[in-house]
Amino acid sequence: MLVPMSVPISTGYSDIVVPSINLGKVQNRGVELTITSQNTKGAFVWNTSFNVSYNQNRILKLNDTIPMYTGSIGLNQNLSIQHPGGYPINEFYGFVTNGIFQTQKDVDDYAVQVPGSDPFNRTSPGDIRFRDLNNDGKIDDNDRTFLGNPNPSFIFALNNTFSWKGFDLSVFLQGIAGNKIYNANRIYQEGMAVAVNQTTAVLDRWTGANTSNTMPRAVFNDPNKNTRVSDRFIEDGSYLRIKNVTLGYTLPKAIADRLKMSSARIYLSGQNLATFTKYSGFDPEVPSNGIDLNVYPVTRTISAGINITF
Amino acid sequence: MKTIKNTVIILTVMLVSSCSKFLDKAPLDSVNTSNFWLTEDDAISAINGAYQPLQWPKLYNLRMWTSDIWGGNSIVGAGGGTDGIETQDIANFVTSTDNAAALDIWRGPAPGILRANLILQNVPGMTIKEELKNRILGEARFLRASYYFILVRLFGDVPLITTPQTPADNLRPSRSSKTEIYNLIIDDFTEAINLLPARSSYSGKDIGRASKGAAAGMLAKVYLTLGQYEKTLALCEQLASLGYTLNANYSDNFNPLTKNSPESLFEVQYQGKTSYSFWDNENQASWVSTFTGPRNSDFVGGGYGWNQPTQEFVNAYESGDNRKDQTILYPGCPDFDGKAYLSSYSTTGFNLRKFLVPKTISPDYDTNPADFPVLRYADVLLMQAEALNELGRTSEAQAASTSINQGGPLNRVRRRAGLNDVQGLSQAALREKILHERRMELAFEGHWWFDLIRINNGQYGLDFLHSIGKTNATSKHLLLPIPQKEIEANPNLSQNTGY
Repeated sequence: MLVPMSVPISTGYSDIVVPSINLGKVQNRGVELTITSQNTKGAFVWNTSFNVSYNQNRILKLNDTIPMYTGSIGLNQNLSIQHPGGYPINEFYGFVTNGIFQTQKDVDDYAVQVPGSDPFNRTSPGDIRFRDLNNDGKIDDNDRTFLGNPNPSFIFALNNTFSWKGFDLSVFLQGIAGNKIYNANRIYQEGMAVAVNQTTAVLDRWTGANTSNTMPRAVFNDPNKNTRVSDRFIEDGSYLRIKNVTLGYTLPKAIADRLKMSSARIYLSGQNLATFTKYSGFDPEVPSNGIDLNVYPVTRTISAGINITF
Repeated sequence: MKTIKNTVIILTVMLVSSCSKFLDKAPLDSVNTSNFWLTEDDAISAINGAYQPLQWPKLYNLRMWTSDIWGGNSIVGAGGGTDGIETQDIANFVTSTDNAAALDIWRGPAPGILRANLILQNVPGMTIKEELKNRILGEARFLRASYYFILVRLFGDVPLITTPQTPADNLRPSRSSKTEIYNLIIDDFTEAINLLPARSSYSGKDIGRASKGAAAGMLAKVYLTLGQYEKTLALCEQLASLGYTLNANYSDNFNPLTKNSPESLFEVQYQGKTSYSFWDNENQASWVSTFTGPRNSDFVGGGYGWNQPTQEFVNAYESGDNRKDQTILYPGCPDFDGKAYLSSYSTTGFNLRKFLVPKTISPDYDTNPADFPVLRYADVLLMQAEALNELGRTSEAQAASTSINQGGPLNRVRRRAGLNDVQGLSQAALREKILHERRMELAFEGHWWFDLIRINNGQYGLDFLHSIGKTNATSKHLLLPIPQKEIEANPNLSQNTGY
């Protein structure tokens, strides 16, 4: 596996423009299955092809045993980890959320998260409670853990083609399942830290005791760092997409001959017609590291055309 | 048979030699270790490169002078909101391990240390003029110590790297103790004093390079930081014989028309006009006028309104202190470049004036040629006064001045500021007075924070910060956090206590 080398800043060399190195050993294990069938013959022809692959990838060994942190999106904090202990490539790594502090007593009784002198610079009611994984009474970088795998377990595609007399129809579905996406756009769309546009999701924010246990308070500068790398913005990335539907009609040969053409076909085709997913972002088709930050969504394309051969 | 054997040998030799000539070409588009370190120009461009990180916003173009904001002399101001949030976080003492300013300051010195180490490894073996070789080695020692001096004061224990690292080396050293780092700094500055020429021997484009006096002054500050006052005092006295004097005008220290003045021991050099990008690392223009110019005014090119002095700081001027009008803009102050100051330019009602360069000299945001002062003689005099006082020679520390260049060290500085001599104070009272003088004299030049954290193991700083309402500050904040990113790249680094 070739990955960017992790270079400590203290060397004096760039820790950003770095050479790629052979990181170590990665194991990919899985099953691929393809089924092609002719369902009907004769005037009405229906063919189906289906393929599915199941894959599990694990990092078995790194060149040195030190985990590598990657996936920075300009936050001075990395989102992903390359860990030699059998974890998949680009596993997400960060804090675990545990509801929202409802009262000052909740804050006082809990591990120290962000100390300070007033609600504008310290953890306060309405802020997210992060789990104290090592039970040391404070929430710090040692309380981060593995949060999910951006690599899908299943990748599948289903194509059906039908033809009857001059008509032909093909329907192509495609999807993935079992992967997580870090919806980094929500850092900005639901951050409520600066005066920029937010999505309507923030209308359900915490505004007083027991008003929300998921969407934190709106507070300038986000002193509690509610937007820190955590499972807050990690979502299920599974989807099923109607990738392509094409309906065509080929003119009968007799008519084509009369028009001095050897063949003629008209068609109507649609790309990306519908997507079934629980993912809240624009598009679940994100880069393989699973980080969705300003990823431009695919467009829906409807096209009609005529193919004429002389 | 023998002929054949010889022919084979000759052929082999020819093949080998032609092979090496034909294939082993040095890259023509870049320099590397095989086609570098040959000429005097190579050595000079290498040492020039080692100065460069000082110019970057990671150090003297931004981060170093924003430390006065941490120390409570000013607030970020700027555009409000999250503008300068990393500086606001440090100044509010809610610094987290992903703080961008701490990351910058960690990043800034590292390439400088590497470049100095490359010089110290390669230049000794070069065949160049002995005088030039010594100067360059002295400059490299000076720069390496300067970079480590920044790191050790702000981060405490740091990795000690004295030779260039290669992939074969351990790239993940753990932190060496402050004592070890200070030993290197003292050794480097001491050697730099021996190797470097006096400032007066530089001419032309070389003016502004590290000199014997610069190294002695920096070493005096190192000893002051460590509380070794006898050594501080000896160096300060030595400097008096090297021809440094106070400028008659305080503001000449910041004026691009009088750069490298008789008061200057060392300043970061900027050229102003440049083909480099203002925002990139290779900036040759100073940011400070652009950044501290009052927002919404047309005083200077740029004018981002950073570093707005607080009321508490402004109140700290003694009446009659002529530095006030040269340092800050306040409602009713003398016009700047023929333009009246409006308090609406600032959220505190004040802006910085010290570093502003009028548009007649720097028309645009990216054209400021002013140098940034690192060490000037007024600082040395105040160090001398502090050392005398701490050594129990309190009356010498507050000896009367007869002119700005005659008499006791503290009162010379005060005389230039238009203030009366201080006299008859107790040791404790004089200690306060000298620190107060340092705060006003060196304001916004990036010294105040270092003074706060060095005295009484930082307790002086905590008491001061609490007294101005910064009650969040605790002993952990006397050091910055080691950037989490660096700990992830090098797990052998421990975090500073409390972060």
